[in-house]
Amino acid sequence: MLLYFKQAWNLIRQEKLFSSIYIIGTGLSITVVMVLAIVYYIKIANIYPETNRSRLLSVKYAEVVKDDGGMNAYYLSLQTIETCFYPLQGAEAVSAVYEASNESFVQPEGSAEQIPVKIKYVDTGFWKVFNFSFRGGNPFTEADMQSGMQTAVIAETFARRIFGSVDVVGRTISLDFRPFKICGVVKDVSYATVNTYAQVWVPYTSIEDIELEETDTNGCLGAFTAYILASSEGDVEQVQAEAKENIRKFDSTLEGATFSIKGQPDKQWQSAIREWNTRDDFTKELLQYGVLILILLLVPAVSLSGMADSQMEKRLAEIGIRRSFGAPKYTLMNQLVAENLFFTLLGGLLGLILSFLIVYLAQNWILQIGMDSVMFEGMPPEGTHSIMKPSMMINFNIFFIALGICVVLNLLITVLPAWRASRKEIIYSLNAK
Amino acid sequence: MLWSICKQILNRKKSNGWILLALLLVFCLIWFMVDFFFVLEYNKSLTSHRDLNNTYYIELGTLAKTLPEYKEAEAEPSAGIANLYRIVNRIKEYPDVESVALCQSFSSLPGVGSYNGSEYRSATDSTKRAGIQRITFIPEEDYFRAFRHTSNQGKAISLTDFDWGNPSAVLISQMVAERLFPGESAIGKTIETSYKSPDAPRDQHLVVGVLDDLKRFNYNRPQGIIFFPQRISEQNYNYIYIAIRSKEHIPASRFIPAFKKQMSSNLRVGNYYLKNVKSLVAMEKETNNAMTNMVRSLSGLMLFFLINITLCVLGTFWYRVNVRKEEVGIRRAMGSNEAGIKKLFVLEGIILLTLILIPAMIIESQFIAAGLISTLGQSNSSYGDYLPDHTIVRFLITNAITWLLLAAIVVLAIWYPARSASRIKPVEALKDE
Repeated sequence: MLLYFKQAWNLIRQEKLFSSIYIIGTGLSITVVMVLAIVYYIKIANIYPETNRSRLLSVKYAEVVKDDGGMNAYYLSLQTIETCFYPLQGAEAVSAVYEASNESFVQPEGSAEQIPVKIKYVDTGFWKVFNFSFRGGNPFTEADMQSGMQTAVIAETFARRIFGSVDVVGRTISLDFRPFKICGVVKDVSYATVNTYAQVWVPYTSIEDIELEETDTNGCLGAFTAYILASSEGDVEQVQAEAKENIRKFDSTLEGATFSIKGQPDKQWQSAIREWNTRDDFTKELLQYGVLILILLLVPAVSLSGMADSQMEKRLAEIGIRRSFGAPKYTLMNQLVAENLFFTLLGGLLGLILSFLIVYLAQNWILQIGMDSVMFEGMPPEGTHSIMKPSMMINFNIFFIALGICVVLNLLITVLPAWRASRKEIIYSLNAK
Repeated sequence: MLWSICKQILNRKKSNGWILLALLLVFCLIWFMVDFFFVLEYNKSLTSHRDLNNTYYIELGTLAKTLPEYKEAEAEPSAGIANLYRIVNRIKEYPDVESVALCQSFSSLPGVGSYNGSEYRSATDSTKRAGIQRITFIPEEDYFRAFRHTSNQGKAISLTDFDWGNPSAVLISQMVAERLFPGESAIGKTIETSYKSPDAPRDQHLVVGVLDDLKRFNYNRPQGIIFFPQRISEQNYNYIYIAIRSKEHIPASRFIPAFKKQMSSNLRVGNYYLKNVKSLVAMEKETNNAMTNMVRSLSGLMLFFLINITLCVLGTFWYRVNVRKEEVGIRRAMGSNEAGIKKLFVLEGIILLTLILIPAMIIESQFIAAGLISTLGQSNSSYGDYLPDHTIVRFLITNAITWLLLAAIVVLAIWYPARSASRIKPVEALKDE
């Protein structure tokens, strides 16, 4: 094996144009595939504070079709979540989350300036479904929730910006001129984890807002999304089935209308690729991504194969000598494929670095790749910094994905030319110029 | 010369096979993107018949009931309406404000992408119907002047150009007029809603003017609009939206902070306060965000495919030039000059590209026949004559663009190998064998 790499190294020095084209070509292909891989890794992997994504289920959309043909589509009402999801047997915790459609502002003490803030309106289950790490204080309590107390959990950088300190538990913050008592300070949440991202989290009972009310006459639709944490990874499917059954029962109690959540609750990966017209089985989406990745690998493979073919043809004399001294065909093929793997790995390294760079530079929008405009999250608010954390990109999972892609791409490019070269008649090979 | 090149290509079937396959694959992919961008740019070039430059949305907030400043008396509808008028008048007094527009409901603000509409039909011929977006404006201010609406393809209009004597007077846009009253003037005609609730009389409206169609998104085609006048009343005063046009040549970055600074205390009237000022141009940009991301992703992919094909052509021709040294030597010896040799290789590349044009067009037409090529903006206009709807013309144009683009790439990629070939000294080349 080492010998092959040595030979490949010599090849780089002798064939500068071939090796640079090969490395740039494979590198670019790996860059593009890795950008996609990193984006979906960030959407699907367990990342703070959504560290339980492997057993997380979510419902973000619902619709009611009236018997007379009218249709309404929105989020869920509290009533629906309470009837269908709170009683789930296999669930460790269930949370209802509301995100206001209009912007909110903080009024810092002793300043006329209004600072835009992202607020999520949540319940006590939220702190169980997601793993926030508290720098100080605690989540608000069930009693706060019941009484509609104006209490708030805030993110540490935001605390520093408003108060100049993180030690602010017990102090008051003014949100749209309403005073909220701060009960906890948490480690910052990145915009990349959209389910939990905010700077301030308050009980949804603490505000009166027309948006919180049910929006249809049957009371099924409202402003909430639901998150369900299954007790263990093995239970996820069962909880999913149980939730669907509850929805079916709930729907059968409705008169003159059909309620549907279109095959949700979704596992995290399903939620990441769901489009507005997705059906239960996700075949269309998986097929789309499959075709895309195939094209991304096939185009460079076809482009570079021709060159690899010519390059191997030039080495036919060498191959002929090896063959005549008794090297079996498959050893020769192995050699040719392994030599090129060395180039592909160099390309892979280049590609990985480039993909980190692209994801980092395009962090304000790159997470929206493939996002349907209905599930559209909008642009990150002004002043959102460091969306991407290094740990989201630089980790073993990403390295292994990159390595796997290198191997596949290398096989695609070299197997056919190497097979042809190692199969040529010895006489012909020796005769080759 | 052409003939001899064609024979050469035929003689090198094997090595040309790879490059032809790569060119074919990339041609089809690039065509798909060129087609998308062609329709997109076409749609963008259609005028939207209004001007959002220098316009802003003035967002008002309402104080929370729990606040000491909150006044129960000011929450009375009559007080609320009076306060609203007071606020509008104070805004009009701001020196940099040119005009004010008032409308009911968020979807009546231009550029926000929100849609509220229903189907209308001609009162005399109920088979003539059209789905139309509804804009409800407050006739106390000139909504049409503020947003620079036009009629007759570009003629500036204002509120006072129309006779509002009849309480059921409305304006419709060109497309609605032509759909409901083809071949005749719509002014003076009556329209009504297609659907009606069983217990209410059908709403009828008198058309008093025809305006130009509007684009809901800048990447779509213009669509039908109906404009309703509605006075401020106890029913709607909570849903009034205020927009303004600033005087020319004041950039948003200067106008917004200055307005907020000077007007914050001035607009603190009753339970209202100034929450935010947003440029409508910026809001429109945010509305188009999903498309912006799509364009970014597709451009990235297009660049990727183009680089791939560049590398493929460059690599293949580099080897080809080396293999054909003797031939070049003989040609030089026979009197070909440097330019002639360069031309030979470049022409060979162009012929290869042209060879795959027909197969590529056959593959593309299969995609069109299978309905996989969608036309951006087609779904919301069953009216009007748009170039992208002429499938054959569009097919020829987009293929021509793709061919030209790839021809440029091929020439560029062959240039370096062709130059090194043309510099081969005949003596050296002939000695090679």
